[in-house]
Amino acid sequence: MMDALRTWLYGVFCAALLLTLTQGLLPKGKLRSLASLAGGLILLLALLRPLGVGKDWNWDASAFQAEVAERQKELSAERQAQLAAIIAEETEAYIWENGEDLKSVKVEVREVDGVLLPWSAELGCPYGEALSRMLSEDLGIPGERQYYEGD
Amino acid sequence: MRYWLCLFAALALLCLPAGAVELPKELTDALPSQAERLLEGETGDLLGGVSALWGNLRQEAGKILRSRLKTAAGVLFTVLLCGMLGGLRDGNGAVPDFVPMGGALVIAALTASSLKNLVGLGWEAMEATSVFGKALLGALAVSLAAGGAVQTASLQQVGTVLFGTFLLELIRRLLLPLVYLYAATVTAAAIAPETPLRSLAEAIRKAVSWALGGSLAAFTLYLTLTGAVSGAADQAAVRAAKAVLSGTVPVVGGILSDAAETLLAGAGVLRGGIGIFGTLGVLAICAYPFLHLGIQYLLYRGAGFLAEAAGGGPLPKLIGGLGSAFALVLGMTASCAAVIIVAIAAAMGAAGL
Repeated sequence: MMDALRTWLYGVFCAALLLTLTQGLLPKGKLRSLASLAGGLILLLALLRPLGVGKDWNWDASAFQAEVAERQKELSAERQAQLAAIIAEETEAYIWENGEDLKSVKVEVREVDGVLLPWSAELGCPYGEALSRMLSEDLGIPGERQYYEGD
Repeated sequence: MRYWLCLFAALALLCLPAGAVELPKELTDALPSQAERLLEGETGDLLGGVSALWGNLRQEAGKILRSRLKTAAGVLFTVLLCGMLGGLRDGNGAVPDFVPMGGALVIAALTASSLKNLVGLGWEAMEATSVFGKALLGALAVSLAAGGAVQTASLQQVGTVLFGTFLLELIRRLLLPLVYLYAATVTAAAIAPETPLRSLAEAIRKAVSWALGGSLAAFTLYLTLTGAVSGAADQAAVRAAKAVLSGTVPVVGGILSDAAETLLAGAGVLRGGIGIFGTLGVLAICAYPFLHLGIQYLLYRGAGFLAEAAGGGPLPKLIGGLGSAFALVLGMTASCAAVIIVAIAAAMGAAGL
C-alpha cells in the first residue's frame, strides 16, 4: 500500500510540474489556454487514478487481528503466572501462621474452571489431623493432595 | 477537547516521583547511552529528569547556535552581495537579471549539506525512538495486563507498534523525499519567480503537514475508541472474576482477592515508573535533534526577515522556504515522539478497573 501511495503522489506531482512548465514556457494566448485545459485534465486523471486500481490499496486486517489475539494470550498467561505466584506465597504464609512444627511449606497453584486455586501442599512435618482438616476446610486442598514428611 | 484534558491529566500523574520502582532490564537497556547521559540518572522523577535534561541542553545550546550560525551568515551575506550587484547592473532591462538566479543557487548549495545532515540527525532520532518505544510498549502492556486490562493492553500495544512502523515507513519512503522535492521546488521558484512553482512548493509543504497531522489524529482516534470499547470488556471480565471468587471457600476467596489487589497495586506503581521512564527517555532521545532543527529553523527565519528588510526580490522567500524544510523535518521527529507519549498517556488513563 505504501508503494501505491508513493506512486500516486509522484504521479500527481509530475503532472502538476508538467502543467506548470507548460504554462511557463508557452506564450499567452489560445495555445496556452488549450495546454492549461489539457494539463488540468491530466492532473485530474492522476488524482482520480486510485479509484480505478483497487488491488494495491487493500489492507488485510486479519493479520492485525491474529497479532492482537496472540498478544492477548501471552499477556493473559503472564498475568496468570504472576497471580499464581502471589496466591502460592499467601497460602504458604497462611499455613505457616496456622500450622505447628513446620519445617517447610510448598504450595502448588492450578487453574480450575478459570479460577486459580491452591491445588496441593508439600509440608515439612509429619501428618497431623488438625493440620489436615485446616488444609481441606480453609484452603480446599483435599487429603489426597496433601504430602507430609515421610510419605 | 475532553480527550486532550484527560491526556494532560494523565501526564500530570507522571509528575509524582516513583523512586523505588524496579524497571524491567530489557527496558533500561533499550535507552541509548547518549539519552541516559542527558538524564544524569534522574529517571524516577519526571520533574527531576526534565530539569537535568534542560540543564544539559542549555549548556549545549550555545555551541549548537555558533555552529549553525555559519550557514545562516553565509546565506545573509549572499543576499547582501546580490543586492549590491543588482544595484550596479544597467537598469534598462535589455540584459536578463542573472544575479537573483545565481544568489538562489548559492543559497541552495549552502543549505544542501545542512539539510542533509539534519535530515540524517532527525532520522536517527526517529529510528531510536521506534526501537525504544517497542521495548517500552511491551513493558507497559505487561503492567497494564497485570492490572486486569488484558484486552486494552494487547490492542494498544499491537496498534501502537503497527502505527509506529507505518509512520516510520511513510516518513522514510514518502515524506523525506517530499522534503527534498520541496527544497528543490522553492529553489526553482526563486530562479523562475514568474512561474507558479511557488504554489506547487506550498502544496507540497501542506501535503506533508496534512499527512503528519492526519496520521496522528487517526492514531489518537484509534486509541480513544479501543480504550473505550476494550476498557468496558476488561471491566466486565474483572466483575465476572470477582463474582466467581465470591462463590469459593471464604479463606481461599480472601487469599485470591488479596492476591489480585496486590498485583493491581504493584502493577499500578510499575506502570507509573515505566511511564515516567518512557516519557523522559523519548524526550532525551529527541532533545538534540529538536535543538539543532529548531535553532536552524529560527536562524533561517531571522535571516529571511533581515533579507526582506535589506531589499526584496525572490531570495527572502527562498530563505523562508528552506527554513520551512527544517521545520518539516522537526515536525516528523516530533510526530514519532508524540506517538509514544500519547500511547503512554493512554496506558496511564486505562487503569481503574
